[in-house]
Amino acid sequence: MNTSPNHERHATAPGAIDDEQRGEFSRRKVLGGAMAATALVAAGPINSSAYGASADPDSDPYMMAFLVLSQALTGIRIINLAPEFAPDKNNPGVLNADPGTDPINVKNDYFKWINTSDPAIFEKLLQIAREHSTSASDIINGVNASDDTRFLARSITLLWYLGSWYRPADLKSAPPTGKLLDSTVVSAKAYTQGRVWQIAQAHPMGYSNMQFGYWSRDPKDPKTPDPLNFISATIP
Amino acid sequence: MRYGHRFAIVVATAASLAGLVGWPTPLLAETPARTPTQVAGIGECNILTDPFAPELGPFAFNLANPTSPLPDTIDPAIKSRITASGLPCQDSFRPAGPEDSGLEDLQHGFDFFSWLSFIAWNSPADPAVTIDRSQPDMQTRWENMDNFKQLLDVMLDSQSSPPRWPTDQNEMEKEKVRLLPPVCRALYKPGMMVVKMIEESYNEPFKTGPLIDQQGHYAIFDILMNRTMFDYISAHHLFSKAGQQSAENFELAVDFPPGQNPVDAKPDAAHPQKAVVGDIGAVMLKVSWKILVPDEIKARNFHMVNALVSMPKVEGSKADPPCLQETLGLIGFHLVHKTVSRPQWIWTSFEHIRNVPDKDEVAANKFSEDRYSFFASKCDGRCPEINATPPRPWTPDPALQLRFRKDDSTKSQIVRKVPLTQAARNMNKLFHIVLKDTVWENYMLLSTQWPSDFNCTSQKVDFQRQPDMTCSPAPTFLANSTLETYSQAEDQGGVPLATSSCIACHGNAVSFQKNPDSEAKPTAGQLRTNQSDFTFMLEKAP
Amino acid sequence: MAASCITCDVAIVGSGFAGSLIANELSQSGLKVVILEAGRGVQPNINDDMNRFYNAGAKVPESASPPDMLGDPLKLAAGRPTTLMLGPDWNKPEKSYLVQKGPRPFTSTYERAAGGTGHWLGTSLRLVPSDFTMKSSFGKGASHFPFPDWPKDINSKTLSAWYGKAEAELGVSADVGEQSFLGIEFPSDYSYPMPRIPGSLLDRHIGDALAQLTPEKTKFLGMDKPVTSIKVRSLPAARNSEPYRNRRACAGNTNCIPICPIQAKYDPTITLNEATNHGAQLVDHAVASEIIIENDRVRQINFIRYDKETSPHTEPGCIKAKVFVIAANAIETPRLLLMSKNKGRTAKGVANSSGLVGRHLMDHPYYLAWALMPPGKPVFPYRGPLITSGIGDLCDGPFRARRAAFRMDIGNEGWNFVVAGEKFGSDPHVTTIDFINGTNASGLNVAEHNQLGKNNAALLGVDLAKKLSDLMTRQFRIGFLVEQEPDPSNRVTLSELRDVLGLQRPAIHYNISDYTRQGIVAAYRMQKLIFEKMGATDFTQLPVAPPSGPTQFEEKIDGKPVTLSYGGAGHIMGTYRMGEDPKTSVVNSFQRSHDHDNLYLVGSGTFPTGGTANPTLTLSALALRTADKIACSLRS
Repeated sequence: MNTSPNHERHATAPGAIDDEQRGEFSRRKVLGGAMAATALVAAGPINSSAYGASADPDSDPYMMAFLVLSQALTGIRIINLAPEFAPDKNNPGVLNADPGTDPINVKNDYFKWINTSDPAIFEKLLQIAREHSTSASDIINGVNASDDTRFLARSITLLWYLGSWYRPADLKSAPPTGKLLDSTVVSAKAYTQGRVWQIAQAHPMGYSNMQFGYWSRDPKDPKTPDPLNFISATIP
Repeated sequence: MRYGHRFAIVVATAASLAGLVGWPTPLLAETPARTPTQVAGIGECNILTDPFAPELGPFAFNLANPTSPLPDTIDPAIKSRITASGLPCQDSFRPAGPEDSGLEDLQHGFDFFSWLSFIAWNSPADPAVTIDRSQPDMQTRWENMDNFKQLLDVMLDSQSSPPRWPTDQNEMEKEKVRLLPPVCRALYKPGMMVVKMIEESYNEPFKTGPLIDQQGHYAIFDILMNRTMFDYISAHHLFSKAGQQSAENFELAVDFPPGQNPVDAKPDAAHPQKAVVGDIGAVMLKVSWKILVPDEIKARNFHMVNALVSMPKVEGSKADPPCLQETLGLIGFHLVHKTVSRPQWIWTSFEHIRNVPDKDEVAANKFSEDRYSFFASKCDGRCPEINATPPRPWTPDPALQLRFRKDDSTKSQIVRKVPLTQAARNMNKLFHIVLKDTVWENYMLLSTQWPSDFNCTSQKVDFQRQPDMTCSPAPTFLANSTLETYSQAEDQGGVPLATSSCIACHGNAVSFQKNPDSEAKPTAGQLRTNQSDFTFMLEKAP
Repeated sequence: MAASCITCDVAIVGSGFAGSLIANELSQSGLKVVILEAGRGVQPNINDDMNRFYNAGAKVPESASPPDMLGDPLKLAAGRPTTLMLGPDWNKPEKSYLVQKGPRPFTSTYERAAGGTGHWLGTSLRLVPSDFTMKSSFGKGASHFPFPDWPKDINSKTLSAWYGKAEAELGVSADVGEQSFLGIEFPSDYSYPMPRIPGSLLDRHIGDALAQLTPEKTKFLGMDKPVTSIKVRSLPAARNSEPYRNRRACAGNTNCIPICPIQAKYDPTITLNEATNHGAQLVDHAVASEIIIENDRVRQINFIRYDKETSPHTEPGCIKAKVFVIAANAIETPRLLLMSKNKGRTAKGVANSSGLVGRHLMDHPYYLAWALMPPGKPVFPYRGPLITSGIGDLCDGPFRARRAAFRMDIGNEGWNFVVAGEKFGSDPHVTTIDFINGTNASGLNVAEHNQLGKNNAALLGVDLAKKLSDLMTRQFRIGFLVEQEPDPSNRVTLSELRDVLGLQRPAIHYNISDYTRQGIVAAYRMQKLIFEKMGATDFTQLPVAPPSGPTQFEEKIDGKPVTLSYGGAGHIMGTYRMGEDPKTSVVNSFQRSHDHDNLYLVGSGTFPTGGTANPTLTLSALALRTADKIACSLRS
């Protein structure tokens, strides 16, 4: 039970940039007494490019563009990425909605992380999302049109799914046999907010909010299709 | 905002604010013990005043980021409104208020709810005295045996079982005396609080450690439940393991009755135990006490109780542990209230202002109080390690009578790792003006933890509560420096599941119930049968 | 030096399972007990460990605990083997704490910290009766049969009461009726401390699949009677199924290894805290360096205290006691014994008149297989404890004269343990990346299996979510713990290389025999049978890269060559075995050294045979029996 022979091991150290990114990031306070993300000026990852970061997670339109992009890429409804998301009755259109602030607010963490890593291409992706905000498939086609957006889109998808950051350049150069790539766990919070586990109708290993005995029961009535209402191609 | 869609908005106008009519009195003698379907009593709780009503003056301001300094005085009309507002039956807030975000508006509302509840419960039991004219040693409402019962008076050994909670004062007193530890009988006088210690009375949850004050004494913890909880436990025979495991409880999904506002509608068929008038619902308390020394008694800065404390039994020893007469000072107060809109309960935590400094004060070496109960600000460079647990053994030695060690050398050096938010501080400031010149201005609200994902509760299946199956508690972590001393968020931030969070931890609570069929023939998405509705009380059943 | 020695009644080296249990028993009977712990002391809470775990890229068993896993073993004061040392550099002493001499890697690891190897899974099985009597049951007349019998006073029946005590202390959840198989007996009034943990959906599927079998298909097992059905039984585990001793009930965090976030799984710090609460004293960051013998008795143990793992400042220390207990696990204990040369008076090491200290090193080689259920038949992994049930009924039978027995685990964590990448991440990372980035490390992303009509499909959006949901819910894995016989050439010795405290590092000589390999072959056949009965597609692959070569071997199975490989179960046994004859054993049945009256060597190192059950419960039962013996001997 102790060691799996199928886990390859290499004793190399993580890349320097990852260390810096994570080191800075983990000093950001997880919500304790502090409530809204607005109150905190986060120390984000070190800016790895010369492009000045102008995308602002606290600006609702920017965040909504990010959420639209995220739903398109992950297939997960916005409400499950941003639990306090609410359409604006006076201002219809998903890009005008209120992304909301929830106690966990992982969307803000991710926005800042991505924006620090690759702000120029992030902006391109947000623009694609803005231009096709009603069609997930158009957004997907748009991001796949060129390599820079294609691979950052994949990094973002992996970020939502796993809470880990895989650099676009590494994804691009990965061989098809899939030698596993270097990655960085963004934070303890991000790990526990990984969505792939919910897609598998489970929970992150090491983070279950369920109760004794749940594992002996089917997670859902097999007769009910997607009772989670978790996945949808229709934005939001 | 989507909150608006999910719950009934009840906004009280100034005119509908009712003063507290009166608590159950001995005149109600001879009424039979309440069952969960009966009415708790009109007027025991009230519709919560709208926290953002303009009539509340500064209480309705933006408190997280005030646009102008808060006043030092408060209009007497507002003051009396606050002190007479009574216990809220349930929460009901709009996420649209003066704060910068909806989440902060709701937090403001819940913190206001917490303060009003605190005032209601800590008002003198004597209905003739309002809290603004109370004395530190007056019995509070929650200390009155008509309103709360200690856990150990419910979870009785088989000889003393079943527990009883009469409505007649004399009968209540008789029951209390019946359950006195023999060594306390000689010292007992009616009106004294009796604290019977078990391990959880000095060792923090899951054996994380005892807390030792600056005089070298143990801090003492106690757990209490109100009648609604008691009635439910009693009716379902949950006060013993055998009762929990009996066939009648195979299918029982423990669900304590929630508090709710007076509603004119017919009873809810799905929840028959919901009263048709305002019902307080289930309330549980966890309190922490300090053993006061003569100086402190004289200074009258703590709410004080004349108490008998029976020390915990020593394993393997036949001798009865001593019963000590002590003056206890209230240092920590967890108030947990289940409401119809928050079935994951609302978790309120208060502390005495002189328990500990927070880490910013320590870093700046500028303290707001000149002395603390669990921190030495002057220790000449030989300060104990911050937030370290005391050395073992931890078990109190009867010969030392609640002193931790013979030589008083061990003292906890505790620092609050997560300072209060600005919003909480400002709200405390306002309430302290209302409570000026009473002992209650020495108590502060830390925060209120409440489940923020309102969609959570209507879902039937475990997995449908996304992304957080405990319904996204806000704030994510919360710790009282006296009750979760050693589980605070450290400098790197809160760690999921490990750092103290009321709802996340209590969500793990289960009872001893079994359902022999549930494993053999499980139903998809079936409600678990041994969850115990966010309380660890049921696992204390003998 | 003598003036500054710690003095006490009982000195214990090591605060793992055996050390903590003995410390607790003895301190409760009023004896003064001091425990030396090589690593860090008990932490006030698990917050730092949990934080480390959540932030770890590779969530290996050591991912919750310091020191730095990737640190240079030459530079750590209390180094230990870790999972990440078992890569291509397994036998490079500058990378691996254990100096592995081969021919094959020893793939199990342990912790050196208060509570010992607390990252265990929690399985608490009793050994079956035959495990104690291998020689008389299967080797009568076969002079070269490598398995001995255990001492006569240690067998399934005589150990039963001690098993019961151990089960109470650890808090084991199981059902007596279900655990009464292969001759295991319980007193008529016995019940486990807690009811069994409910099985998972996968457990039920496998149980259903194996309910009806034809004898031809199961003939390979070599059981005494034809096998027409195989029972899946829940595993007794030191995991709360209800509140127990102020600990919460399991909430299915699926994280037993490395750390249970709510301590529903027992770990020895619980007993260690009880021990210190009763007056035992723990001295942490103290590495025992030599056992000093005088007049055939232990006079004292010298140790080195250090302040931090790397570049430590050190101080010598010593401890004197009436009785000494070495509980440092089956690699560190023989290391200490062999290091203790007493200026040449015990050149072969302490307690080593038999020459067997360090010999007969055993593990449970762990053979893994994994598969995918057919569409529409999900098993919903990643739910519940890591393992809830297994198959134990096949671990005993006439076949043991020819091939090793195995016990099967059913994993509830999908392909997490088996499909992995290089240094970080394992499933679900691998499957997820495959379908996002168009790679195929999992084996799933080919037209034949992904139902997308092409290889290396890269998906996004709803297509991705649905595909992952469909595939992940159908993944499962099984594992086989295979017995090893005691082989004197599998051993722990001292290497010339020293750690930063100047102590010689352990050297490991290890191989797996044909007996064991044939057990793995039988496990392979079992794998095939199960997957066939479940309709599952076998995805078991050998590790992609060559470094795992030394764990691989080829066997001819049904005329075809098949390459198999093994891992480690973390069950280190045998290196100072018990026996009645001082020439062929190191300790007696009370785990007291034959050579020194006041020296006890405890832990799974005393096992003469390994069986297939996890050693933890058995070593705990033996430890309690030893504690009782020590208490008696000191009273008189």
